[in-house]
Amino acid sequence: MKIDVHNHIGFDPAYEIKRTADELVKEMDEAGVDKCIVFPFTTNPDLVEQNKLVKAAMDRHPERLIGFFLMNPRLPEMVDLMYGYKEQGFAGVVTDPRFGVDHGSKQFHELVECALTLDMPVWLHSDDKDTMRVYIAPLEAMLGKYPQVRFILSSMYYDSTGIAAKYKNVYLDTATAMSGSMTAAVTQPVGTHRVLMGANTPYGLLKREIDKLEYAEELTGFQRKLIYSENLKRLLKI
Amino acid sequence: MIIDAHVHLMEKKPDSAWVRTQWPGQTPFGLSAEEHIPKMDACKPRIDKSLIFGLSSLASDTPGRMVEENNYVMDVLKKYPTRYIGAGVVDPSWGDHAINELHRFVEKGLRVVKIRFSSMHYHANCKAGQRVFAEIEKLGALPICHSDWTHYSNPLMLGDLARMFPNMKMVIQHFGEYLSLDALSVCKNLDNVYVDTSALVHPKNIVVFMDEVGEDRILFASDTLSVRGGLQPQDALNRVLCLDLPKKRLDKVLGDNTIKLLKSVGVKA
Repeated sequence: MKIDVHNHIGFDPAYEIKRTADELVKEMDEAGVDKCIVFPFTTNPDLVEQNKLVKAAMDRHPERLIGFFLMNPRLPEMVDLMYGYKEQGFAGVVTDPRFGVDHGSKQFHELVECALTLDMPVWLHSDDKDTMRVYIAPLEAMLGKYPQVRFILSSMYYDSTGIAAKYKNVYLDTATAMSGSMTAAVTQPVGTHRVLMGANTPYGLLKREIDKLEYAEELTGFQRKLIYSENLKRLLKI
Repeated sequence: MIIDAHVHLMEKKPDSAWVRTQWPGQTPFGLSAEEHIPKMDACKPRIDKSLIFGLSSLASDTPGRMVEENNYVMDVLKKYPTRYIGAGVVDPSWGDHAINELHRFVEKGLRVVKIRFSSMHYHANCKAGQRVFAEIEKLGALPICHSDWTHYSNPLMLGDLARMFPNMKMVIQHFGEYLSLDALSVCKNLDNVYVDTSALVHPKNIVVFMDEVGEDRILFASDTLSVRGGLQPQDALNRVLCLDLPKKRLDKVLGDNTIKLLKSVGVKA
């Protein structure tokens, strides 16, 4: 079984890109991917409307798509929204530094505490590599403060491998690895049991993500199985 | 006349709003006009006027945030017309909402437009950036854009955007921060691009700019944004004064260039 954890649907206003659930499912069929986690483009601040599209996608393809909702910790109604999304069947929450809330801030910690209460993983998404103004110390302090919370950390984060090696509640996606060998290299400090296949569609391709892992001679069949689906099944308790 | 071309003002929040979102003991952040005017007056030499705009709406959690902060700037201009010149903030990620707000505040007289692409993690030359710039050009206003070393707002990205609008002037604020040499190379190649001096790490690059690019496209600015800390106006003035520029050059950078630039979009300083 193959499950990919990094797929956007909806509208990206920065580059005016639209992506529908049907387009994603078609790509899944062609690539041989069984299920995908889907969430909005984090570039879109109109997250309530974009989360509605994700909910519609989950309803249309309940056997194929697992929905995560996008959240901005600055919204005063954040907690009510999160409880509502849990009831609607969303499986996790995604947030991103683009909302301008530091990982050390009270608002960010409230989001994490709410996710903990709702027993949801937190996807720490990012679209930047190395230059963004995210301070790693508050991020690490937050990861260490909430060891019960399961985090998916974008491999975009500066020293994401080092962070994941240190904090055992952190999982990494494969989206930014330029080759399967780079993913294999992560397994030494982090362990294969916390690496998840993530293609970052529609920017990335599901087929390419599988190819990367298939052609990495350093990975065993068992390790691939973990990355393809077993780790995520354990993470989401499915 | 001395004009500070970069100041963030915010309406004071009640304590209840502050403590709801901040940890206990954190000092309230922000700067009102009433707190800022004494700062201008205390500077040596005194700052006559400042170009002001909002702060928290640079990446807006709702479209209403831009409206709220831009309205505050308009209120301040009514109260202190001799001390301030106003700019409106636009967050391009809000699409049509952003365009509507841009039209609203320009029609109300704010003919300078502040954008900080790294706040919403948008590459400056992305489609949304191009769309907002096209509207600004139609309105005959002046874009002023934060710069830094990120993928989003570095001088080369901003320069690429400026290149697409050769008939519109724009300001690269902060002189590229650590990427001041990149800002210099952009300005050498694009006549429509200006820089401001706020947060410039190496003041000698002001001289390099005047020698190699020109004397007319560099503006004194402080980026003052907080009651305590932040980049304070006197410190920003000292950054320029320490260079012992000839009087003609000093007058240009401290105010004359800004007056001329604002005049080009119909704003009287």
